Amino acid sequence: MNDTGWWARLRPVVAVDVPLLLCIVLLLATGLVTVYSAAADFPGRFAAQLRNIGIALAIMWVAANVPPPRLMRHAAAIYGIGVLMLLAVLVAGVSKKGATRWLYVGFDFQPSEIMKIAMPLMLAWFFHHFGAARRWQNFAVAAVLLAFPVGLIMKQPDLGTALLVLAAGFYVIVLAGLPWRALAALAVAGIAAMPLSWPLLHDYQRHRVMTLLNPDADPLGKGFQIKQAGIAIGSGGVSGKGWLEGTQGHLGFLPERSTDFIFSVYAEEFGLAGNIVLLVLYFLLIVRGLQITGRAATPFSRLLAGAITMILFTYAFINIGMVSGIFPVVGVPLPFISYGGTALMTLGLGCGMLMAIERESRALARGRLGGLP
Amino acid sequence: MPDPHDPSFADRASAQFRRRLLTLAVVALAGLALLTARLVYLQAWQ
Repeated sequence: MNDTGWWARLRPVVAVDVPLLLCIVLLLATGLVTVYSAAADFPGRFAAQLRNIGIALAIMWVAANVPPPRLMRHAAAIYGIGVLMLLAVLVAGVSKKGATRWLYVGFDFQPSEIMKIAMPLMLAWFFHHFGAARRWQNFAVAAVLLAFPVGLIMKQPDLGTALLVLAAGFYVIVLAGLPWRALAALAVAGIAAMPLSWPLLHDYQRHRVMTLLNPDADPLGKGFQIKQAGIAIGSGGVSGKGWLEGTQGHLGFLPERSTDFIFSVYAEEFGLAGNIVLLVLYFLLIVRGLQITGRAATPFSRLLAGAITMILFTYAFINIGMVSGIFPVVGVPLPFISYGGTALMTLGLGCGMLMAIERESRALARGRLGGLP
Repeated sequence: MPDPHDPSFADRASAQFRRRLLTLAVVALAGLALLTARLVYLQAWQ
């Protein structure tokens, strides 16, 4: 878009990246329409999701106005606070349904959500300052910075969040230049460690893997959710049953239908055609994120933007893969679609940072980096 | 050991970063293609 006329005057105030915002708004609208249908038997959820979207957009706008150098100055402190809160969960956390993931701070707060952004922030800061020489010691320190909070989150247990935090850090390390032979060695070690990690999994995690391998083993028990999700997706066919016409969802066959399994409601009502539209929206969002990454002005901005973009992909890939039966069930929401405030706010924060990075590179390209507000 | 302040080192680092980014872009594209194939199988083929 040309920086002339009314847009040139408005741009410093609005401070958003229009292509990125357009993708996000279309995804949020799709999510809102789906939540309306999926949460028909929870009347308060649609209004609550509207409020969540408002808060997430406000967080995004604030983050878009924070210059990346200022963000970099506070990266280590944000990471440190996140780790301290994870340790506090270990000592004095609030337990629900067998998991201890929350701290009571007047309300139940989940510190692991902070790490989804704090981890790439910290590692991008680390490689910006110490990564130029690409020494093995630097990658070893980064691995420790990554492994410690991931270990704390897995202990809660929260495999979904641990996976996302691990992925966020891993993307920074890959982009920072971890040698291919080290990546190959990690992949081989990971595959070799799979049988060894089996006894370390919790019972419910083992059941989820077994359900993926044989969904028909217990269709009315442990396999109920994934089996019903598969029926919902398949019954949507090419064109879908129509909005509010999904029988699997409305007759109560789909547990978690407005949160982690909302994709099955969407796929039943909007069919393959709707799914292709949704995947195209994610594709455009990722392409815009990669464009911003490619143009970013500093190593910190590049690494952070790359990790945030790839995390958006990872969210969508794991969620749709899980609901459609490619992966075992893990607690990962569908980005911008699933009902829930915390995930939306984290996504808003990440996308706001992408916008701030785009703004920084535009300012640098014009040779007025010092003019950032 | 390379000097990080050497301009040619910065160019090489930038080129390496772009190759890494391209690799991740291909990974993301392949992931979305896999999801598309799975959904086509479930909704139009099965």
